[in-house]
Amino acid sequence: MSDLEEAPPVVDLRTLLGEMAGLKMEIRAETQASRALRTTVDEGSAALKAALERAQTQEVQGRRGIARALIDIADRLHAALRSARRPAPRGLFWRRPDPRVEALADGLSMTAARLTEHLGTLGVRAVRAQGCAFDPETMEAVGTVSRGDLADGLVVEEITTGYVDEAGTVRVAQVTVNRAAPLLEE
Amino acid sequence: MNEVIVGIDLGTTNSSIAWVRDGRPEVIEIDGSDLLPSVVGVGPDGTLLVGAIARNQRHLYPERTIVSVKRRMGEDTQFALGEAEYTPVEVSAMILRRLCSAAEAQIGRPVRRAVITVPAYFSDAQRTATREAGEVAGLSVERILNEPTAAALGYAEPDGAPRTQLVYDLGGGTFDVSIVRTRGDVTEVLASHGDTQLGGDDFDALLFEHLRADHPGDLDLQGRARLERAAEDAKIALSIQTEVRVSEEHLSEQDGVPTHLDQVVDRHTYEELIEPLLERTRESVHIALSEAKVLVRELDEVVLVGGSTHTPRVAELLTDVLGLPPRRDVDPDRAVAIGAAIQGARLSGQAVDGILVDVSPFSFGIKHLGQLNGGTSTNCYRAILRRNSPLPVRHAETFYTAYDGQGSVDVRILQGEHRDARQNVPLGRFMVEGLDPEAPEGSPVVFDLALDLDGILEVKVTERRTGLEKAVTIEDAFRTLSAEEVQEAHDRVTRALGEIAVGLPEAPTEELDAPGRAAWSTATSLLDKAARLRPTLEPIDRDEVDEHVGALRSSLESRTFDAARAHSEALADVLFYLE
Repeated sequence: MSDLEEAPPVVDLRTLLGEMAGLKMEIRAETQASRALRTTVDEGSAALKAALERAQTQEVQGRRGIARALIDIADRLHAALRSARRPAPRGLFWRRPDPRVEALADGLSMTAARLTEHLGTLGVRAVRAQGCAFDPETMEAVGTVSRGDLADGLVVEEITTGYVDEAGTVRVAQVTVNRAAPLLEE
Repeated sequence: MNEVIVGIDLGTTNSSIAWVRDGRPEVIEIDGSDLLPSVVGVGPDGTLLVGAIARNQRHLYPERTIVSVKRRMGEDTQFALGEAEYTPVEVSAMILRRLCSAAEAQIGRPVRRAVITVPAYFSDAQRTATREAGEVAGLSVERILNEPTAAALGYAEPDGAPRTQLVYDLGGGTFDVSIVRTRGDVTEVLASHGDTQLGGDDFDALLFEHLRADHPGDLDLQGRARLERAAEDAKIALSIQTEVRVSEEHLSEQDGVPTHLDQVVDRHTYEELIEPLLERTRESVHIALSEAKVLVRELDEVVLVGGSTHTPRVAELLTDVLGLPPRRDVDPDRAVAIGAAIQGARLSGQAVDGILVDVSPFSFGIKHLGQLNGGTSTNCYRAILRRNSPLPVRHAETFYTAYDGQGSVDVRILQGEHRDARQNVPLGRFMVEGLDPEAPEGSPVVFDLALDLDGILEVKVTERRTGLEKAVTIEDAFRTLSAEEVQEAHDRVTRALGEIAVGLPEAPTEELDAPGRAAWSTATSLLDKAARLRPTLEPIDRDEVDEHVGALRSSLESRTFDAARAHSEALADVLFYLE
């Protein structure tokens, strides 16, 4: 050990307080900078998230645009099919079903099935309505019947087919529904 | 960050909500749409339904579905909704809550403050009930705003200059017109008049009946649903196109035979159908002006609100009646919610940009043959896309061939507002050739213009008889005039004035036969071309052109059209080499 010990530095209280204040300001500045950085990061990630959502929305809208065009064709095909399958009006003579019309209807049915497949590749599927319980999420009731032998709220006729995809309802099904229970007074 | 104050258009049929983000108002999407049906119900499993889902069940469960609650605001009544009963205030609160939850999902923060709009004719009791509905929904209602005032706010000028506006609101099921005066920060509705039984749904019904009248066979439910949808689609398409083909195959049956609907509806026919309804709105405009004691010339602006105002005849009617083309900058479907959001932003101390949406800074159109300065001219200009239209925009107009067997159309696309094409900015030119040689004079040719946000203008010309089509794209439709172009335009006008001074043949006052009209049209077109080229010609060429021009003009003045055709051919040959 040396005889001459180094004298402890003289700490001036004012200097200490000054340095403390300086440090405090430095910390405050750094905190502010860190906050600003965080805000920038937050804003950046929010903007990124919004851009991603926009892109996803556009993608869904694009896909739905194609799906709607296919659905429009499907509607017409189904109308043609209904017409072809409808029994011929009874005249004076009973007529056998025309095999050419039947074959045409079969062909139309195959085309309709192909269209359904294409819709499936776009993630769009038809809503099963007839014989199911009415679901206001995917169906719109445009008419009612009153039959005691059927359950209340049962879909008895599908007027237009509804379609859904993973994002929700592409088009609601228009349906006629059984209303077994009497209407309550409004 | 200031707390958001949203703007809510609480409508009879539909409602919407908007807010101002970074100075720009935005309508918030709910279930993939800007509009939330104002319908509340209880589903089969007892859950509360609001919006499109509730509307889907209204025919099935009317006793547990509430529509048009707005009509009952301020009444001391109760609605049964399943097991419970609710007041109109509570039902409206459910709609408001659904709107706010959609807004919260998009904004990412709780929504606690709102400006809510009401019709100008709402009584104090109805306004109080609306305010209470907001409070029940957990909102601090910062302001109850009149709907026309909200629509007018969308057009507020930064200088706050006093203005008087006419707000024409034609929705799906109701119509009203209001006179709104703004002085500084004070906006008041001077008068309001309307018809609660008139709207776009009536237009759909008329078009449906028109299509139905020409279609044989009985319609079943499917057929009816398809035709209703087709009529509505056709109505929307006719706001853009001059005609629409409605094709619905296998729509019905007659005597067991399938029948198809394949019908072309043109805009003129549609406008004739709806004219009696629009005539009723014209009466309301006069009554509102009279009650407000405002003269037509005192109006500064006409503002459109409601989806049904997209029908071009509405703007034409208002321009006829008021002499002012309506403003279209703010989408009429969103105008009320956007105005309410602007009011909300102001209350929260947020700045709002002057221009709300991107609009076309110019009109775009084509040059055509018509009447100009008292005579027939090939330099008439017709704007097809109007200035201040929100972008993107698309619109079509039909023009007609000038003579029998007109084989081609020389299409000039121009930017500008002047009815003399020479005073507008030329953007492009192309020829449509191969038109039907059998087509008589007056055969329709459709000009379809579409402009996007980047200033890309697409022009499509279609001969209706044959479907012959030609399209071009102009990449920089928003360009402004360079100094050279200004000079060029100036020269064009000077030349035109010179041309008038030397005197084009006066337009015929008598009725010409078809060959005469054709010869006249060709000749005036060539004379126009000669006048444009003349200043650029060498003296020797100019003399030759002058010689043919003189001969052609004389033959026109003497109505010797055989000679005119010969001189036209000679002049065309000369010009061909000089162009």
